[in-house]
Amino acid sequence: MTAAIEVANLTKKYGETVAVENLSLTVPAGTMFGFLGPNGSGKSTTIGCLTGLLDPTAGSIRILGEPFGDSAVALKRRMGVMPESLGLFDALYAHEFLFFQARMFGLDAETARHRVSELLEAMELGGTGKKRLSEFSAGMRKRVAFAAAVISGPDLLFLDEPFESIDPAGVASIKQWLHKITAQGRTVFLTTHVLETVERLCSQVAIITKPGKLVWQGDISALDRDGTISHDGTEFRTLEQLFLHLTGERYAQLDWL
Amino acid sequence: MNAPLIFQLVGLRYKLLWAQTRTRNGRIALFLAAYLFAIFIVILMTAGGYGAAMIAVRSGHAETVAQAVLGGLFLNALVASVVTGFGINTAFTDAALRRYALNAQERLAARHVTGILEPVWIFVLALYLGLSTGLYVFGAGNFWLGAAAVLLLLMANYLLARVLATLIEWLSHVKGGTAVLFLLLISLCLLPSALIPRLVRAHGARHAMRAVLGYTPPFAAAALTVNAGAGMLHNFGLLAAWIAALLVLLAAIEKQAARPRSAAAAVATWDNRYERIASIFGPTMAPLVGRSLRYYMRSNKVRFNYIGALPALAFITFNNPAAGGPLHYFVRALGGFTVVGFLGTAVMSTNQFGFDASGFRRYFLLPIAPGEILRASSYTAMFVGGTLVAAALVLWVLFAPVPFDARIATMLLAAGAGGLCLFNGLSIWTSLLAPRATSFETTFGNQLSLGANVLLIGGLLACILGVMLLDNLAGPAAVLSYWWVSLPAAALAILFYSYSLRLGAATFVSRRERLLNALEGRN
Repeated sequence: MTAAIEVANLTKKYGETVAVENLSLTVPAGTMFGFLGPNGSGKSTTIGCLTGLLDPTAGSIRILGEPFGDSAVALKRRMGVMPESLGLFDALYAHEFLFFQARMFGLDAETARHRVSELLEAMELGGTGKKRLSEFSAGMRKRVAFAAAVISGPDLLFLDEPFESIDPAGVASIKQWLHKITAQGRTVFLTTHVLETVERLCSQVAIITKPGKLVWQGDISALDRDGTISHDGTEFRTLEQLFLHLTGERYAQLDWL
Repeated sequence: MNAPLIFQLVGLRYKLLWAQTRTRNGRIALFLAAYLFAIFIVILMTAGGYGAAMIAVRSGHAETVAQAVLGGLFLNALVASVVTGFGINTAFTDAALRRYALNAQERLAARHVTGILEPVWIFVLALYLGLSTGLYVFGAGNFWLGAAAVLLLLMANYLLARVLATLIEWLSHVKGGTAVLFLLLISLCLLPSALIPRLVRAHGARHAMRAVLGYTPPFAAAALTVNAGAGMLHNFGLLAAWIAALLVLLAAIEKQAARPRSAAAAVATWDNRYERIASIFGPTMAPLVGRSLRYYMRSNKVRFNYIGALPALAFITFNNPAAGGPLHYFVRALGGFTVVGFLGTAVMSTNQFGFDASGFRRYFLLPIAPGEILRASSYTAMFVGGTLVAAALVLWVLFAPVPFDARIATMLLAAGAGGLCLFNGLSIWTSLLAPRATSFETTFGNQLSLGANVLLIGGLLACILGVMLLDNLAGPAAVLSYWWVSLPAAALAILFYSYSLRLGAATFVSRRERLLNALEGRN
């Protein structure tokens, strides 16, 4: 199986602070890959490096088989990204933003308009023609950001917390589309704190701890069949048990609460 | 009234102000503010309060001098706060205060107590108090009466600034409001210079004006600072009435402005105007320029400055009747033309990424060289500013009271184009080196970074004072005889702009993480 993402010894420092330390990771093509870690463990920094937002301090990145750097314009055209902060241009209407995104990714005007209309309908955003993105609810903004990530039909899709704030019907639709994407051999790189979602959606998972250190990577498809994952001689029935074991259980006693 | 909680909020406001000094720009701003404050204190002690009081007492016209000083300070504070936004930015909105245990009246009080305790109003109060204390020291007034009067005057001053700013903010959001603002701006810029000389000449007009002015807050306060006897109750009542009326007016405007303006459900309509305009920049640039154009055209701040740029040019040029012939208008117009294109777009062009919020992240996800984004944004500012220069030139040729001369037109065009390139070249650097996260939705309030403020205010002053100096030292005939100098000067500005774009593109990439941190509020 070819790799969609190959990361070797990735390190990212902010001054003296190490955000990601010597991270090596391989994401097989055509998989739904879950990238997990506690708050502040370096997930978003890693995604920043993998998508071109941040400059790695050290290490190498290969995306879709090619080296990835600042000048990898052609590679970026094959990627779709939904950042955690969504990255919307708030003064635009949804259709204008999606049209802009489509045009920037090389779609001609007619195809762009067609896809924008389809996506707006599919995302139930059809009646928002005169509403700026700044006026959208959190869930609507998330839908727009998802639409922007997929509008160019990317080979590799990065999704940072894609389901937060979206209603159950919207989540179901997105999950269905994600399955379709991976069935076509394309790759989804997903981060979320909702471990049940990862358990049901992803076949491969990587777990990192502070500061961006990989502590586990493996296949979790057994959990979907009521099986277990074995690690250090212990059997884990859920991803949550494994995650808490690897990252350290933290329960603080608040007497006044 | 929950006074402890309200003063906790005042304390929080000052902590937030202090927190801004933790950034590099904040520390520079703090240093400059402290430096300026020290200078102002000296001015206050010498020429301001005490000096004015001394003159007032020695001249035997204490009340007249007090009226002039308080009136001048009142107007200056009003204009400075409304135009620059200092002291009228809402520290806490009503919605933000709803999370605390405050009822509606307490929230109103909290907003205005934090508002009036902003440093700028404390400084204005210091100036007012300087005069009233000086008058007391020189034996022309009662200390406590004067202090009470200037405190009430400050409240009226603050409330009037708030009323004006809220009214303008509201007008800029309603249909037709922009046209009303445009007319108001033109009137404000042109009417005083047209009306005041006539009023001064007219018989009885001065007395009538004084009678009307007697009902204004500065005149009422001036009477109280020098006169403890007759009319005391009347003047206190007058100040109280102004404050009450302004409070009612402000509440009414805020209520009107707070009405939701959410758009009704509508299907997406493809408005291609922006794409058509943007297409002149080529297929790669078109989507980026189209996006930037929408930002420029939809920003109330830009729209307000854009419509105000031509009246400002008229003000700079025709403010004082030209003694010695109409050619003097041409020399002053040179300064105006240099800055007019920049004035219209400066709030956005000096801080190109400040309005993008999280959208800034997307620039580096797009399959293009990041320098293209900087280029597109700058081209948009040049294009929008260029329309102002073109309009100004057409208006000059059609209406200026100066005989047509091709050399004048060439010089004005060169000044406009050169100024546009110079200021937009400098704006690239303020955008990259002094970025600031800014709200797209507001019309008022100075949200520019220190660097952008220096560029905008410094550039404006340099243009106005520079041409005044040129006019006085060389005279219009000599300026016109060297008309050809404007061409290489404009060419130099174009070179500077082009070099800034090229070097700025590399700086944009190398500083992207620092920009991201600044725009997302991290140091």
